Amino acid sequence: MTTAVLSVRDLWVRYGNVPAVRGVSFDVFPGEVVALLGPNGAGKSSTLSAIMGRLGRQEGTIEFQGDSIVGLSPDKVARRGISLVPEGRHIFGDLTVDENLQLGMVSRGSQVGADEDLAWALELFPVLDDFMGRQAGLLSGGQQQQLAIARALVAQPQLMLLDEPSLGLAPSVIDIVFGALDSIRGRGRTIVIVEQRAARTAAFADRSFVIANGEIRLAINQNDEDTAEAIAAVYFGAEGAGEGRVDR
Amino acid sequence: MIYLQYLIDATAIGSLYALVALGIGLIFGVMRLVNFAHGELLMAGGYSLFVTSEWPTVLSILMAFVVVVVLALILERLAFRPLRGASPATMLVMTFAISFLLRAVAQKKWSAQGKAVNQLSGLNKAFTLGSLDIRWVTVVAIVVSSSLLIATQAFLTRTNLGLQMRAAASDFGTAQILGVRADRVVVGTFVLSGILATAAMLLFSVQRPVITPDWGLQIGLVALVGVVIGGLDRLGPATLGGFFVGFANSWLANLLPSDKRIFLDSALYGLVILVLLIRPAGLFQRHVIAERV
Repeated sequence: MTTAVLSVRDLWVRYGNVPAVRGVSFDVFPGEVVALLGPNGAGKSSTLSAIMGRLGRQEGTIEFQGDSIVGLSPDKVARRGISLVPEGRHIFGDLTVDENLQLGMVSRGSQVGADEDLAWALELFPVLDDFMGRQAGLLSGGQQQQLAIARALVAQPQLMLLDEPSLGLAPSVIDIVFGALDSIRGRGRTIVIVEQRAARTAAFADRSFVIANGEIRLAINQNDEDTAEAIAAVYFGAEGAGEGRVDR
Repeated sequence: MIYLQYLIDATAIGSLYALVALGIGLIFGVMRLVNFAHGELLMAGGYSLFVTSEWPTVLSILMAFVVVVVLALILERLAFRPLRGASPATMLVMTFAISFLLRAVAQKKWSAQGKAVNQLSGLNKAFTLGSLDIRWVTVVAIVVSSSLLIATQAFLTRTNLGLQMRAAASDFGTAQILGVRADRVVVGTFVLSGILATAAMLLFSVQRPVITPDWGLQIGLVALVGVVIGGLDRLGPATLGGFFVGFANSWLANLLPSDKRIFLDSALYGLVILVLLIRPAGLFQRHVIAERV
């Protein structure tokens, strides 16, 4: 069996006394697309933040390419080879598209192949090529999302984390995003994608974990049949009455 | 013609305040820290000139750069780094404390009595141009300041570290997840800010050659006011604000008859209050383009 690119074991994240992630464990293998699905507040984004080292405090182990990355600062995690496309895009609005992409290259181990990666990113998102000199804040939301993904891609990541990449996008832009992700996967890159919208992401990912209340409730494979009902059950179970939990 | 004279003088003073303001603006941008103690960097540089007054001028000036930059880095390491991420109010109070501490140390060491420095006093000589008497220091101040402003701009836009500093100023957390090293960016910011402060200090020392513990406070405070009226969170407006306040300060000082000079500060700060009431986001602040949806 190949070693996992990412291995998360018994991860707990608490905000104050409120646990947001409760004992999550999963592995991601080379070249895989793994989805973390679940309703709002399920703990998906917190899981990504914990991997990235953005939270001060967490419990459990997180190994990347066999080494623990717990306690590393986000910039160190990035330079190890993990790129995050954050929720809400977080592009630098007052910098140009070109400058945003240059910043994406800061974490590269080597500048060798940087031009090729940039050319590839622009091929995936041609609209960026037209706006290289433009202030990124002037782009539309969909264009900003494409920039955020391109910015993560030019870092030449060993593992790409995407937090709600289709949130708030028009269907045509969602098609572009998934098309690009498919090309990225085609080059053997490893991807973890977090989404609230289950159906399309579950069909796209090799494996999906459905999370509710900070726990993995369901694991499904891409070729499993009739998963929609099982996913819905987790979503509704989380939304409905259950376990004396606080809605957040 | 006398107004042209005033205009040149005011431009020179304004450009020096612009340098100080840019230093304050840089640190605020990256750290979200309103550095009330920025003027004390100038004060320290002034005393460095005094202590090295027997040295060859060039070495003495170089030493002042070293002293100011090293002091800026010590403050960053010992006082500001541990507070990174603390509330702005906490950090502001820390800079108050540092300002008072440094002035108290200066007073203990060199007394409240002024110490004269004269490394650049040759620049007080004037040349005549038509009916104008122009002191060399005004020309040098304008040339040095505009060169430094252009150089800083080039550094921020053309170099990788400069780009990382602008990214950190815009969104520190996101810069970090892209691999930007926080410490490197912050150290770069303090070094740059210290260099600008020293350059301004050297030229201010020509016009105000008597260094006292409060020497930097007066300059720093006026620049800080300029930064706030210009617009705290953008470098261009912050620098312009520094220029504007320095310019107005000099202009008013020349305009007021000498027996009315005591009203200079009231007139200036009255103007400041007016500006803040009319444009609280800053005099030179454009309406922010919709971003960060």
